[in-house]
Amino acid sequence: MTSTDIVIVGAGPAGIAAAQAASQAGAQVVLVDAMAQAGGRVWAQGRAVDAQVTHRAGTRVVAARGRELLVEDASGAELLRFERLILATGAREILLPFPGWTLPGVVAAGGLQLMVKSGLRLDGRRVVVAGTGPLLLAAAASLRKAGAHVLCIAEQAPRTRIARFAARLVRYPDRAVQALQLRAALARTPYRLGWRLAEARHGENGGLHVLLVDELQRSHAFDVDLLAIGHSLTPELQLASLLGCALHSDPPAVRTDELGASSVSGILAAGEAAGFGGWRKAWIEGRIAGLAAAGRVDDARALLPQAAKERAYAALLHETFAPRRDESPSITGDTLICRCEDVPAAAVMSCGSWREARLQQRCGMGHCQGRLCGTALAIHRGWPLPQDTRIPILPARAATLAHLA
Amino acid sequence: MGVCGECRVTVDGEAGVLACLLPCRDGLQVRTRS
Repeated sequence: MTSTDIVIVGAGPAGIAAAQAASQAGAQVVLVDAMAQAGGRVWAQGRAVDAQVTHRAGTRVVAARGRELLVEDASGAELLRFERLILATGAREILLPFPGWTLPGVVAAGGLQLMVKSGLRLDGRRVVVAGTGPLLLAAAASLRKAGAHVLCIAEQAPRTRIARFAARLVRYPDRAVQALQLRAALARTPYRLGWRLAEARHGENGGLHVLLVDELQRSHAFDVDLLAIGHSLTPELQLASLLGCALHSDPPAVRTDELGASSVSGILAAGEAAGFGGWRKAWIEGRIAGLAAAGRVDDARALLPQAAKERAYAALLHETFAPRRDESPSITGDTLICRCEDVPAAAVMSCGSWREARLQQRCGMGHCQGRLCGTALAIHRGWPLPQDTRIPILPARAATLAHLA
Repeated sequence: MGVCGECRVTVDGEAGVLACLLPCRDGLQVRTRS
């Protein structure tokens, strides 16, 4: 077993900032991350990590108990012992179901953007980008740069709310400039507000026929090669939940004090894990948590005004873009809710709770363990996100689990 | 990425590898069906 002062899980902006701050404060730091290089999803091209930090790339945390994490990589598994732990586990895309969402050609907008950033070309391919959140615009701009013909960006939040968001953006000049640059890059691409996904069907020549509905219930049809969808982001909270950290449910987040300390002594959270809000919030919260974990509380406190500004922006994002039921895509009885176990909506809608949906219909029992359907059912049924996390939190090799014996 | 498991493939004989987390390199034997 290896023992370290500070273990950080997740090498996105929050994890990198925390590692740098804690290491420069003299702590011994291990940074664990599932990807091959540091940077997380937002810096997909990769980011450097301080040389003093032990960066364990390609390593996934599959279980935890007490002050130990069970980690697995290509070559094997081991228990990592920590004095303090910083959860910088990031966020995943929310993909809300609608009829046809499992067809080939329907892809996650953020996922497609990542593939494009790694070199995928989309020359002449027709794409509709639909869902909600600022990520739609960023994704559309990347797709256009890769040669795609973006026919339409459909934002399900209504015009009134987007207008209010735009008016308040003047308090954040850097983001206002970025938004204007994005609009300029997308000048000839229609950006429709209050449009939601209704259906995708097989179209001509292996493509898709996509139907969207506007605020007046009028249908709009597009023939595309790809439909990129994304309904904002939600934090990865399985590890926090497993470790017994108290969570907020709306919006989902680890409950922390202003320095990032969770309800469990010695465990902190930063970035998306402490509430969705983008890389600037993640970076400053990562620095604060790293300094606090290394015992430099006064230095951490000095950064709180900056963090307050980013947290206010995060609240604005949530208020504007968190998907709401009456604005989200409609589902029918045979729409698949759980695509791991092929559970249709009709089977789940008769259940009274998550537990019942799991036990009786196997909803959320597959490979993703409810990461996709959990958010869909939080919206459609009002069930809180599943928090009764058990080990392993990710599929693992049997030999890995033997370390817990 | 690394979330849904829809991209599981067999790589060089090891089943259940998430393709989205594995960088490509020359000579990888990738099978989409077992």
